[in-house]
Amino acid sequence: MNEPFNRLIIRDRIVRVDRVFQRFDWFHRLEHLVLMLAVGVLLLTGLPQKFAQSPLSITLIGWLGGIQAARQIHRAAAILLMGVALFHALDTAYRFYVLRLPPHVLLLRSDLRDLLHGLRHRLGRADDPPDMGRFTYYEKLLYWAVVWSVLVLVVTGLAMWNPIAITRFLTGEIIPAAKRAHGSEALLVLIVGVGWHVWHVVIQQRNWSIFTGVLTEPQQIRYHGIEWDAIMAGRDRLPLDMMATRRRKRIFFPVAALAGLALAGGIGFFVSFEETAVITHGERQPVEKGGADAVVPLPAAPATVGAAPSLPAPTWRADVGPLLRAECGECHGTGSALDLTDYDAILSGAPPGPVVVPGDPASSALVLVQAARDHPGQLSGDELATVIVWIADGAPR
Amino acid sequence: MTLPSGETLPLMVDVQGFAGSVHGQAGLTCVDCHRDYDGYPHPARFDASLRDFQLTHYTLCQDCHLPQYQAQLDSVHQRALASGRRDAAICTDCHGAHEVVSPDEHAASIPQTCSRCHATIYEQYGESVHGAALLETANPDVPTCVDCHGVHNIADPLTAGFRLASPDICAGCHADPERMDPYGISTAVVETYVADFHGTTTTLFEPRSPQNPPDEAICIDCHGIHDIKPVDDPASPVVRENLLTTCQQCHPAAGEHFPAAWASHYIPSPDHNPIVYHVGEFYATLLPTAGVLLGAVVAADVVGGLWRLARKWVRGR
Repeated sequence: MNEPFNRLIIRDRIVRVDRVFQRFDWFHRLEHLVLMLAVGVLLLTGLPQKFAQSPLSITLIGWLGGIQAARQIHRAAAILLMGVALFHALDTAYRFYVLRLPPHVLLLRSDLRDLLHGLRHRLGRADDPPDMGRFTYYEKLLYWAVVWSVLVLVVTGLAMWNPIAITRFLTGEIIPAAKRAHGSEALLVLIVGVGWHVWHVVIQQRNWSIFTGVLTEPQQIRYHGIEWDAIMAGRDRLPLDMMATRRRKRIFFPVAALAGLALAGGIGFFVSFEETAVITHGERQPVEKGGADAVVPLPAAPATVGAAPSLPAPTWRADVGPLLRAECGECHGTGSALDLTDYDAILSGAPPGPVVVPGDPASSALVLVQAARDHPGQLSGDELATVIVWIADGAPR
Repeated sequence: MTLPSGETLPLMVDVQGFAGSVHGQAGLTCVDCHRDYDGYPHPARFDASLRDFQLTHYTLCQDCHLPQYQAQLDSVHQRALASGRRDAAICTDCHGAHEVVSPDEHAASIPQTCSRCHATIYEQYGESVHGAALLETANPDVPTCVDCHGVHNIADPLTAGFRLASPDICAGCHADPERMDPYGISTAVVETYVADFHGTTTTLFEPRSPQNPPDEAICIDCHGIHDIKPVDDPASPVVRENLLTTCQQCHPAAGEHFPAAWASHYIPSPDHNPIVYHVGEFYATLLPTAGVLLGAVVAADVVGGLWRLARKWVRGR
């Protein structure tokens, strides 16, 4: 290793200068970013649904704002994934048809040779790993695995999205089968697409070209030596016939626009047209408040109101006054510390506070004391109900 | 003794009956409960009606049965009472006063007790798979009212919280092989429910929103509540002929094939839901294969790297 850095010899090729090689253009980098985001969100919101009973899932769903919210996020990310897949298909068609770029990503017989060579190298039977072109056999395999996974996930996902429509044509069993395949395929994505891919590219190769766009020359030679040869020899891109390219563009853009619109419309249709179930509830604030119930078991509206709707609203003069004078007056009469026989006196109350809060029976000491049912002078249930209704009505005179 | 309401408060007690009651057998006497009658003549009483008398006396039970008394303070009955429903059940309405017997002696007496107020539900229960087994064959394994609703602290069953927690009530028996095996009933009902869309949702919904009702179906939405029928009864809402109607309660647009989207609590097998089974088998092969192969490559890379390092080190010497 006496050579200076820019004079390295790697795999019989001399690294002449420390230059970088363009690997991914901005469009592919953007595609990868969007794909990464969509898949990340889909796994984060989807796997907790596959493992619903795990405490981790329950925590995660809690962070996401509940299962309903998680499902909305999952579906939004699914639309993003379908969108990026559609763009990728159109872009790939453009590169092949209009720009006449070679289909580097197709699996060839040489890939099998490289795979076996790679295996021998791993087993220590070959000194060097195979010399490969723009895409290595493992990159191609991963690419087609992603294509397969996205297809399976989109098809099964749309089936679960529209179970009523699907079962008009197919047996209902398709839906749980789609669910099973969807969750399992997602695990495959986690193992291969995330686990293996990140290990191999980031940890093993320290290759950030999908974000930076470029490989260093040693990386280019190590992983894509044959492509390096082609670039050096100027064989990496064929001269384009400008006239022919323009002609192909005139055909491509209308066709791609039509196909793209049709597919986008199809996605839009499939994600929006079915109302699978009646929706009656959302996730709202709790209806019952535990704390308030614990103090005094008083419902907001006494049951007797519903039971006797024909009764006129009670007033102090006609109902409550005579009742309290008869039932409570002996102790709480005129001149006592707490006078319950006079309208003005009962509203002003006595220390520590008022005994009647108009409109709020549950805060009125008169009701609270009586509801406990252990006061020396005890109103009957019907009488107390009258008092509660009177207070709820605003304690009219 | 005639009360202001015109009702008669009987002053005679059936001595034989009291002697046979749990209290009589325990050696309790009249004054253990009736303690506020000191002196003669007895102090005057001011109960306007029979119910007034009962409502002022039942609180005596707490002197000996405090945990039960406190539990019933949280009950739906006590809440109804506090809101003015004077006929809501108190201790003596269910247990009696002078002739209290142990409720464990005769299980059928429990629904019969509740039926005094809840007659319609009792009728439904009597025709259900559970009630018929209890009332007609005295089967001790089926649930009575209290097995699902609790005893003294009976909760309001109309709340969202009760609804959401109710699958656990069913699971208490239906996930227990000891109880189900003698009847040949599958205990996979809970895990197959959780594995399906409805169960997955409610499982993830409950910990976060225990007081809100989810849209997704729980046990009782398909099987019924007090009127649960055997799953092969033609009147059951989950028997094949009725299943579509049951699904349409929530999925009004569902067609004839839709009910088959529910796997009927079967764990997929070649006989039941073969497509699901074979998809499962496919991935059960593919996933470990992918895992092992890639794991082996990673392991080989790590080992190979170490091996090359070691060889370089040896050569360097």
